Amino acid sequence: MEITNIETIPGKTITTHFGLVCGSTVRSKNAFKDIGASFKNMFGGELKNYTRLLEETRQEAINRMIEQARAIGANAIVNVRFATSDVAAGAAEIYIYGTAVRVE
Amino acid sequence: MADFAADLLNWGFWIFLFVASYFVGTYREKAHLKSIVEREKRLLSLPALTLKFAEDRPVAKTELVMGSVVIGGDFFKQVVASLASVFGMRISVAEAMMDRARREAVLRMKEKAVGADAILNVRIEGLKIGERKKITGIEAMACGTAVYYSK
Repeated sequence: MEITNIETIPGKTITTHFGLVCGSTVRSKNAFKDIGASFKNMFGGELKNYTRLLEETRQEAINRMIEQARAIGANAIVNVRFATSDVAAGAAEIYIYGTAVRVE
Repeated sequence: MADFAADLLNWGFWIFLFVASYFVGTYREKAHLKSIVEREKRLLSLPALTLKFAEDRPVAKTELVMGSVVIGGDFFKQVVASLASVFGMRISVAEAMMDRARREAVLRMKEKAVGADAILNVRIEGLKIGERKKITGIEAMACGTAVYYSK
């Protein structure tokens, strides 16, 4: 599965468009890990727990999008976009969408 | 007298935290900036572009790459920011923080595209972390399409 965030796959031609595919995950922070973060927050620096959490969450959303694209017979996804929204206090939604295509 | 001592201890704690977080925060920020500048120099050969079109050369592979980082503010910055926002001043401590986060995100993205010739259509997004008005940290995420030309 080739994924790009531009309109084409360079070097290949798009033969079929399958329409929109998307994947989303809603994750909340771990209250126990958050104690460590707020402690670290006194002195600044990278909050590695949060970085990891968000990276995992994004990967999960991408995987869901890929699954969906595979199910309808696409072999690439173009023009992928990321969006985030706050669902509740301490939780965030990551939403990823793109156009599923078949390339040759 | 006991009251006074308790007050002093209470205030002393916050003042100590304020001063300590200033020194620790500044030290960490400088160290981080130094490492950013160093890595930026090393990765100069891999340009991150906002263009959408690849060069007119045969392409071997394309790949979505991204990098993200969460940077937390320190106690000193929080106090300065809340003071500055009373008078509508420029919050330079926050500016430095945003700058660091974005540059770090772009660097991490570049580090994931090992052997690529260019990264097209780079987008940088931000996300505030923390409940309501309280800012625990900020996230910067950079993503783009890495292009590998066939040699």
